[in-house]
Amino acid sequence: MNRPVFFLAVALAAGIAAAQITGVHYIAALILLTAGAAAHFAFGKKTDKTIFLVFFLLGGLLYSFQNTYISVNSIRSFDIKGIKSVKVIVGDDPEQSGSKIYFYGRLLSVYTAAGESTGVTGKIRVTLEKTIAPPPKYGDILIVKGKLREPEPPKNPGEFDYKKYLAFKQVYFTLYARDTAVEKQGQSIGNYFKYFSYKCKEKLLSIIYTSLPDAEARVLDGLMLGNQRAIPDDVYDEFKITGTVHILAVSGMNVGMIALFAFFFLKLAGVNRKIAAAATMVLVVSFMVITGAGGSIVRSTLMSCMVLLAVILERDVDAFNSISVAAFAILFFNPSELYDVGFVMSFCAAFGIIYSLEWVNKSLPKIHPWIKEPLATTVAAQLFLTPVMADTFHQVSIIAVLANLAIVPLSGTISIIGYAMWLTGVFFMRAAGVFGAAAWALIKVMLLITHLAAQAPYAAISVKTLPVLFTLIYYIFFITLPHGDIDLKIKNMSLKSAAGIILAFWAVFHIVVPSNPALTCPAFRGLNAAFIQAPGNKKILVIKGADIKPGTAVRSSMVPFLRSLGINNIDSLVLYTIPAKESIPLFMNFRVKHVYCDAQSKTGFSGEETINGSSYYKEGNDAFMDLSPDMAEITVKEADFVFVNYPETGLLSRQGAVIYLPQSGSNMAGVLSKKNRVIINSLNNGFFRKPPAIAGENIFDTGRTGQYKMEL
Amino acid sequence: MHFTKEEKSILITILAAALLGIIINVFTAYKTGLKVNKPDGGPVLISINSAAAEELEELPGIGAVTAQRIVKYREVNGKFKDIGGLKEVKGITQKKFDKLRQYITL
Repeated sequence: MNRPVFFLAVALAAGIAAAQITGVHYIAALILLTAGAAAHFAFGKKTDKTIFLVFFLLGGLLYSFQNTYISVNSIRSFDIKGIKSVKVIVGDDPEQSGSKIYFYGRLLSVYTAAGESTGVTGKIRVTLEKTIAPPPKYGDILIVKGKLREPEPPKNPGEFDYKKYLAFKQVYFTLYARDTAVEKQGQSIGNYFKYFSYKCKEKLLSIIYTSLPDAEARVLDGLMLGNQRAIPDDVYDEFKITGTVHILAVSGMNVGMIALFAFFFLKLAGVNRKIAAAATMVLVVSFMVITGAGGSIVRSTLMSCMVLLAVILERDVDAFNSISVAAFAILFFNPSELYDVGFVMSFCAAFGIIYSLEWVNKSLPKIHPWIKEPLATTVAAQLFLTPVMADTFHQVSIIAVLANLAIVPLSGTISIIGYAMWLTGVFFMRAAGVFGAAAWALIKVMLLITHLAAQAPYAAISVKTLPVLFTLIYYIFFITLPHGDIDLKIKNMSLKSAAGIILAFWAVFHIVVPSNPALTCPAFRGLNAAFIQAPGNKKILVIKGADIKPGTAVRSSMVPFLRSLGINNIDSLVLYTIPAKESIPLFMNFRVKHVYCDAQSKTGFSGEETINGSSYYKEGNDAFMDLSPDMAEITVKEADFVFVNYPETGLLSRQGAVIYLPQSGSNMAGVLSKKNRVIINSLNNGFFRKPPAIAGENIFDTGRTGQYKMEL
Repeated sequence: MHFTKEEKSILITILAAALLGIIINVFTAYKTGLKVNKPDGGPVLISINSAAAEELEELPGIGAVTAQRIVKYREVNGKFKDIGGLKEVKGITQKKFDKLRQYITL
């Protein structure tokens, strides 16, 4: 079958990537495209190469225009320091999490000392206190008092880049406001389809939360509507560790099931096949809107619509063409989507299934189709997904294939029951309760399986950033592997087999070989931390809580940081004045050998000899702890600092090299540096309002210079 | 009517789920246990058209008497057409309504 769209989509994507790498201005890109198009028509021969070139240049222009063109009325043209309040329209269905409400606001005007400036364009990310009444809804026009701020870039390796994430959505500023700073001015429903879809979402949510107990309702909310914020952190982490977290993100499976379900019931109702297909298209598009229209769901919605369109037009459907059209359409209207992790993972998984499922099926041993089919699908998806997941989350789940084999069919069944619950709940709420009870039981089973699988030793392993060359060879290998005729032989040795062996050894080497000894003081909100990779591959992590409430810094920042360094084990974990529940993500994600903690930190632990199987804890004195984990002497004092005396290095002498973990408001770095080598991280601006005074060469700022290399 | 393999799977799943759900509801102490004002947030929406008085009492500012009034209002006037209709019930002022509106739905 002819597949020209695939090459056009690849050309467009290549052009976008080239524009991102080169940072070309949109005017230059426009000139290049004009020249390319002229060349294409001038030469008279419309070959594939010139068409490829034109779409390549078009991709470059679209991306550069989106990112380098700033209109006069854009908020980016304003001096945001002078802005005291803004008028926005709530542009989507606000999300609630914890004590906050979040939404994207479309700007109407800004207010400065000089007055109101109307006609301002752009989107901002707004965070409000949850106590605001009434809570904002889609279409509300609000005046919000507060300062616009640029989101901060990540401070530590492996940390989520929120600034870049928002930039891909053309959002460059955030605003936080208390409930007293918000005033509703009116309502303007720009898109009635969206408005109606959000109203339906409210009804669907009420059916879920009245038909199941709260804990299971939250899981079903995540499963069916992709609301990951509703799911407890420890449950979400278990899904991540087992490689099954994708079921909590709306994707092709959800859309496919909705389409199948809707089609089936319309067929039962005697509706004509083509009308049923059209109605199902409206339904899946509405589902896409209420789940936030992320890259993954847009891809699967477009592909489903093409399948349904094929039914209406009585044409055959080709999965390859469908995915190509979806990719082209998404990138044409939003080129930055190429860099959205959800988009990349969704396409890698879908492409993997479409491209290699047949070959994987043939390669698997003869087992029952009930097992073989889901197993082949999982393996085909994971083959193309693994490098992306390793690079993004610095984590590969070893148990993913087995876990998916159990969890995916279960989640599919729960979804079907959920749709039946919705359908009955619209007409008769009590009947929804019957399906709710069934869903509750199966969710319990699913959570149990996930929990047990997550306890397996090394269920997920940390992976450092993969070399680009490795990723390139990996994909070339798996794209050529299904084609037995594509192979080169050098002296009777198959190049393909050699590449496979090299990749396998390279991957093991990359994971197993430890990094050079170094000391890092990562910057985390509400925490002071020092991570030491000592010679002999011993790893010591010291965390000191502070005046500021830690929040979820351990889970959201420290775990990804450690994973990005390829850490799977922590030999000694020192917890000082940090609530025990804050440290639980460390035990869930890593094997911790020894735990040392003070009385405040041990609250929440049962005081048993073992924690998480292979750990034990030993209580220290509140004010002073002398610890001697394997390779380093760590002395922790009630005062501001931690001494690390590391006998075997020339640089850290017994007089005391100091890792400075300050209290809020204090700054003894300058004083300490007169007698000691001081290691700090001045990017931790929760504690350092301005960088500490440098005293000669005695202060080593890991925030500016990266890790502190420990030399033997 | 001819069903495909996938459609048969859906039908069997729905029937089995209905049976399982009935067994759980009849033979176990299973309850939805809806709660309002959870400390860690999340959408909790009580249907003012179908919730019993006990559930309505969980709303902020709604006691036993007001909950009974809401149920009585429904019996006399039929279902609420929009959530603002709750203000028609004696005892629910605008101020009280503003506090609980984020927890209710039709």
